Amino acid sequence: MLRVAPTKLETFRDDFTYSNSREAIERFPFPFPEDEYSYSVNIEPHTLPGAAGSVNEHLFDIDEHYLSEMAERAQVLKENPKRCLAMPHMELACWDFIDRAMTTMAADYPDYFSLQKNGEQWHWQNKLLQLDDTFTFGDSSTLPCPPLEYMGRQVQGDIALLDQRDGDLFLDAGIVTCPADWSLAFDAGMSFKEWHGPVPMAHEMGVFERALKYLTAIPLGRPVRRLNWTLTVNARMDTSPETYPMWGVENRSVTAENVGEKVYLRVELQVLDRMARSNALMFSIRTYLISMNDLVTNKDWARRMHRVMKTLPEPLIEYKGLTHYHPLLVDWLAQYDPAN
Amino acid sequence: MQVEMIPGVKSRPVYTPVTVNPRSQRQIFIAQDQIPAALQSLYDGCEQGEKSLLTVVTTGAAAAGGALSIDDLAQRVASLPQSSSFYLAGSEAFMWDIAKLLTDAGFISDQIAMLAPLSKERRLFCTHCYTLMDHVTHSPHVCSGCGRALLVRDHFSKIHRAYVGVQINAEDPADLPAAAEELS
Amino acid sequence: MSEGLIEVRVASVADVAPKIREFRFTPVAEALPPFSPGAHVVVEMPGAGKTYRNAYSLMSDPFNPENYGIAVRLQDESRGGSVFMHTQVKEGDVLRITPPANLFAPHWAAKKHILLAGGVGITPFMSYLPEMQRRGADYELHYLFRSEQTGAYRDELKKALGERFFSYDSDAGEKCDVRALLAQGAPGTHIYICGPESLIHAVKAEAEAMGVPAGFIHYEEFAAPKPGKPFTVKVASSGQEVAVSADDSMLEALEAAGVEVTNMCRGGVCGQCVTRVLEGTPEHRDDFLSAAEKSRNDCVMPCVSRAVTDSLTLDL
Repeated sequence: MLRVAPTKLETFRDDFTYSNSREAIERFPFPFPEDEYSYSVNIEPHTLPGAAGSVNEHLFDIDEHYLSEMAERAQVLKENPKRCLAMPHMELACWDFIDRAMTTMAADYPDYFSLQKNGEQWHWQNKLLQLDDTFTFGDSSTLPCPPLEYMGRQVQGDIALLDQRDGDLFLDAGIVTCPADWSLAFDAGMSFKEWHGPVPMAHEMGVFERALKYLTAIPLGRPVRRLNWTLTVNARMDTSPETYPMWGVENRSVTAENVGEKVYLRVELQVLDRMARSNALMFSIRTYLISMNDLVTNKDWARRMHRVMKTLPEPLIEYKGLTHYHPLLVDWLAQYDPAN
Repeated sequence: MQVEMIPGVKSRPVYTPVTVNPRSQRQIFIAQDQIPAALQSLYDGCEQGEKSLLTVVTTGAAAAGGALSIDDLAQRVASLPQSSSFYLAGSEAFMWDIAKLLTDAGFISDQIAMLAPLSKERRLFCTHCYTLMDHVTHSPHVCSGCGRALLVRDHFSKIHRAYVGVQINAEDPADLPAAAEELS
Repeated sequence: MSEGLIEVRVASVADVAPKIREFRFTPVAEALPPFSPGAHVVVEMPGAGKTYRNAYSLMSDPFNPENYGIAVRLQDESRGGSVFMHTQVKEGDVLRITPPANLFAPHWAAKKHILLAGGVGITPFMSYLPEMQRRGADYELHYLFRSEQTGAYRDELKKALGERFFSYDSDAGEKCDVRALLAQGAPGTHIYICGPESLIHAVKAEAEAMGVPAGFIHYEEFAAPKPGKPFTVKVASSGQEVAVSADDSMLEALEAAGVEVTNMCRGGVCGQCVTRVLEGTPEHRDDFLSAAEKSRNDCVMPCVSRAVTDSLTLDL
């Protein structure tokens, strides 16, 4: 049963009517475990079900923004259909994703989704989007659109499917309409190391080798997760390089007076889950946005946010594109830190 | 798992010195338009296997003097044995185009060696309108598709055989860079 | 290790060759998950006084398996696992297995697949074939066996595969010309080998001599841990000392002593159990660490490797 029922349509562009309810604020995945900023990628088992009501409870977290995010995704795909792609050899992985998403969503949210399997004949109902489809599992011609796009339009968050071969992972399919500044069209086909190229992380020291060894061995049914974060000006989901000319100017719209409403903490719950038939990895990137005004309603978060922002290293400020408003944010947050 | 951070790392192909694989049955040396000295000397020094020195025409001029078109080359490689090695010379975009042709034919990257690119020209992918541009030597570069001034980044895609370009002044369109810098 | 194990019931036991016994597993609770071609499971075998854990390739149609099939060859130098499966396991028994994992998946970009099976090494290809047929892939199966011991499923394979099937019964004096097989390979032909070490090494050596790059040759060999001289493992964090007998692997001895070591294939292939060595000299027997890593002697794969010195201190 959903703790947070889907609400009316909100926008992530133009008039930005997106807002979080009290419940959504309380379950927000605040990503900083310490006051001091430290760059570490702590991957942990995504044991299901997670804490009741938390974003970790289910494999696919459905919340009050479901309809709004699905409408936003449809809009992005309408403007640029290439924001979803799957190389031909990824067809089986796409069907694995459909299986995993439908099976878990029907079990986790029976009020909203249902799935009946009669051999290879599947009957799927999505009551939130008013879909009622019957298709042959594994036969893409029986769906109204390609399999990844079909299911990707029904889950919140971006999905990438990583092909595993030669001990490496390749970004060979995805539906990416709310990325934190990376382009699926450009990064498509890249190996794990290649698509992490611009990330300020260690290429030396065998860090990638260790990470790859860990990721390529993720067993079936034992997903892992990590949180990633950045800041976004306005509640804009689609902060892609493709649309950067549209939103880049907003980075300069932050003033001392509007920090609380303009600056959002953007947290990605990243989950890696082994796909059964294809041996691909599903990489789901579920994005949560919270305004600074809402964030500081939690005193512990407010204090810690200040301390973390204050100790953020310069290369990361630049890499995350925060240069223009980072000092304003730190000054504004200082009022919530008793140490100041 | 912990990942530490080291700033300033980029993703750009690295071209290391090329040596001939002595075990290959066929040794195929491929040059863009003209045979550079480095490839010629590698070819001259190759003593194992049956060797061929090919030039592929890319300038638009008609193929002359035994030079091949890209299509000729595709036909030629289809009949090669699995035990073949390839040594490429030319612009960066040319070598990666040939590498793509070879991997499409079933060869693997271990069989393909690239000499250092013969020019600093890059191919650029506009991340806003997806236009591909060749012969890019300066950053920012004005996109031939959407007209935006693109910052050329050191992030390379083997699928597009190109670097990524993003609008340099998206945060302040009034701020046009005074002069473009030559790429290294 | 016990986390996430699947309970299965032995639905059938059948002899499919003189020394090979097939087991079919059905789920005790939820349906068995589909898997990918070439996947394996580790079967936990609760023997008297010792728990054996061996990896076996799954043989069912991986797309929607009704059951999981494995085939176990009675090993001449068995450390107990295959003997346990052959003598102790009966229809109706309940066993525990790990979820499927895959270290031997087909390269779908290949233009042609040549499958080379030696004896019980036919097993991973039993899950390749249905998916290759589904995709309309170009493939050949070359099956080397000794009919007095192995050669399971050869009649049904011949019938199902027709001209794509080639068999070589060495007990009938039939030989497979590996060189000729490699020589016919056009670009894009990938070769997969599952079988004894000798077969894998022969193909690798031939390929190297012919200049066929290693990237075209794929193989799976779960080296069952071989016995060696006994030694002691010291656990650095606790000071605990664990005796490793001649027949136990280091990993098994550590597990029996309650020390958790992350692992997957238990055969020196996947690299999951690699552990830092703080003192002592390991005797490397794995197929994962590079020669350079082995020569540094600062890490070891406890699933198959042992110790040259009387004791080995591990960073656990």
